Amino acid sequence: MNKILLIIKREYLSRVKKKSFIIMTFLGPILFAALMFGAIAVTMNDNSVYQVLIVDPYEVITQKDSTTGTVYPRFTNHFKDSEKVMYSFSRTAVPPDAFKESQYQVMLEVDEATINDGKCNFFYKKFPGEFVQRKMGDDLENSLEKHRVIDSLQLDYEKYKRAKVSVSFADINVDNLGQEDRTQEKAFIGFIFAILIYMFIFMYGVQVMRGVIEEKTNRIVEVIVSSVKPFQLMMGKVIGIGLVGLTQFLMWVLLSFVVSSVGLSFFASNIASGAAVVENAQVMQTGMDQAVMMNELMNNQAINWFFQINWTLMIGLFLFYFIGGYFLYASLFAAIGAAVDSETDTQQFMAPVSLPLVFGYIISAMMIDNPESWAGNFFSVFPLTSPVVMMVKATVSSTSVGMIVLSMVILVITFIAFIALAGRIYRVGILMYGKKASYKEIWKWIKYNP
Amino acid sequence: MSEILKIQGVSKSYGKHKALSSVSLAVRSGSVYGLLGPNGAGKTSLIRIINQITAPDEGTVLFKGESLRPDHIEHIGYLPEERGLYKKMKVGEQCIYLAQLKGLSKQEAVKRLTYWFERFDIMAWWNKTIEDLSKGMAQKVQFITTILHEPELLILDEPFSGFDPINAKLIQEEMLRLKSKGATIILSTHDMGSVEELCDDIGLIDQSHLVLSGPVAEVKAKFKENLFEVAYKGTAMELGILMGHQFELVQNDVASEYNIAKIRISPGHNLNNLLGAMMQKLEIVSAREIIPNMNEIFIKAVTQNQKTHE
Repeated sequence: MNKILLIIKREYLSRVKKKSFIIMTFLGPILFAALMFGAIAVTMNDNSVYQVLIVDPYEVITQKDSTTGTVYPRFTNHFKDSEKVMYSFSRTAVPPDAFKESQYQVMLEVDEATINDGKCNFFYKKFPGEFVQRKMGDDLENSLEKHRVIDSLQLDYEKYKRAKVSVSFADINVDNLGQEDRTQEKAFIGFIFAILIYMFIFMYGVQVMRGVIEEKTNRIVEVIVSSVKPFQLMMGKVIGIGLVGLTQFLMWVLLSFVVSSVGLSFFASNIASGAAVVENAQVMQTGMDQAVMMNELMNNQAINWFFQINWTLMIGLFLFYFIGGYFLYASLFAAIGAAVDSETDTQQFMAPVSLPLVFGYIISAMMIDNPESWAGNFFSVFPLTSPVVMMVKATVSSTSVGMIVLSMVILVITFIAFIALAGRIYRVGILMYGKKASYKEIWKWIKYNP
Repeated sequence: MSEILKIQGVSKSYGKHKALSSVSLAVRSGSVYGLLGPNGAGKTSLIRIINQITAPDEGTVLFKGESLRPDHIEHIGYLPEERGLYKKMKVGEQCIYLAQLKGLSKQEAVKRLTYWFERFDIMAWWNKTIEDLSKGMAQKVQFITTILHEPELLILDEPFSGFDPINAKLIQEEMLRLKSKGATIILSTHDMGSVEELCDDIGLIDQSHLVLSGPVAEVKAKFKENLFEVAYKGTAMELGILMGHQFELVQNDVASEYNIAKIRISPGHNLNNLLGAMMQKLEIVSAREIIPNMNEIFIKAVTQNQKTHE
């Protein structure tokens, strides 16, 4: 058997058989799902009811019953109690000490700043979640708007409402007429792929570096390079560990597909039955088959962009940029491993190598908001960042095939050059013990002919 | 006896540091060749060149009359001084892997490993990891991996370090057994006792130069000083009268039954002349020539070389 294949096999099997790999492979998708559900649960599962006191000394949004003395909302459509928010109203604020003792969790004070600029202080004992904050804000905003329209402008509110327009964008690319684009949502999906690539490159790149350091510190490298060329050893290690990463990714895709199709069919049946109740009770009685349900789901405006994404292309691009980016960075990590004697010495070399990758990650996060920026265009072609940035860029439908191909070609040329460079550092470095390499020293190794 | 390895005018530099300066030596087939020298002299550089880990800047290396080729490494076994194995890998698996890298098939590797593991009585270690073994045990495993592909040329760098005397003896016996089966061994060591015991030829490298080489007996003869040790009955004064320009008394130790004298014989005279003279006055108990041991030769050669380079 070819020796490089032997090395790949050893590197691959020794890692795939590890308990940590098996656990991560099966736990990964579950962990991700748990994390996402957990994040949703944090906002959703706040079951506590908030007692909110609205203090309105200027009497703009409340009125007082002259007989009972009770203060109540002036505009009856607003400040309605809900499951989570119970409103009370007052003309005077409760002093801080008394507030602490009171039944209220939140106190909103409508002062001059609030009336003039909408700035409102709210005091709290228990910080309200996103949902409660939004309800309080909406109620206050709408009441103040009515106050201004009616009291200051002296207009008929119903007429005013008819004049008011709220704009929402539906983005349609001229090359793809007749379909809403949902560029930002798609870019977000691209970003998830970008995170995956970023994570995989780091995780497996560092594994390459550790593997090299291990071989160097336990001195087996001297035995092995008497049987194979250092370059073969390095490539065997890089390829073997890369295959471990791909295996993990494919397992994750497979598992996620299984988990999500179970989840989706559950989701679909919910939506479909809901729609059926409204539209056609008969259909529901006769029962809808799975295909109809999926069709229903895909026609749902809120999520049909999800199905517009060319998933085959995305996974294809992911595989390409993962492999390309991984080769590029793993070869550098291998060179770092060869240049040092222990993991603690890697710091000085790690920073310049990981910086572009971290930078690419930041750029791609920023691109969700602005996918057509010049920085996005540049860094999706620049080889040190393209594996991460292009994943976001490619989801934007205006990105041309030519640009993707250019980015791919540059990446391939660069990783070949980096592998050659790393090979030169590696073959000298692995046989140097007890000598702390400086950049100057490494430059000598690159030029040196063994 | 033909030469399995011939090194001609090999030089090697690392930056400004000269590791080998025009070194030429030959290793006879079936012999044990002692590669000696102080630390940092250039031995490891030479060994790495023979193993094709690095290439020489100048000069040639011939293996069985041919310029070194990548496939030659399958006929060479190398036990480096800085050695180690994968700590978390199982012993058996690891040995198979290393044997496959040397060109053996898996089946053949398993067959030979079974033989060696049984021979060394370590079959129970097969499924253990290296980190479960003691240092000496790991060294044994490493020795097996070095010789498993039955190399024609074995390069052993400090093979006895890390072994207790019993296991060192075992390794030494295995070396001699391999030699008797036709293997050639290059032994690099600082243990001059084992050089004396095992080596047929030696080469001594110091400060990148080969300063001494040849069959052990010849090297020793070269360093003889015509010094003899004679045990005799009589007095030191009687011996003193006999000394003159042809015999020089270097040392005289007085013992209870007899005295022991170290005498240097001048060129043109021999032991017969000395004993003839002594027998007239004294009673001879025993006499032998003092031949320097490898340790003394090593120190002398290195000191001389360093003096000439100063």
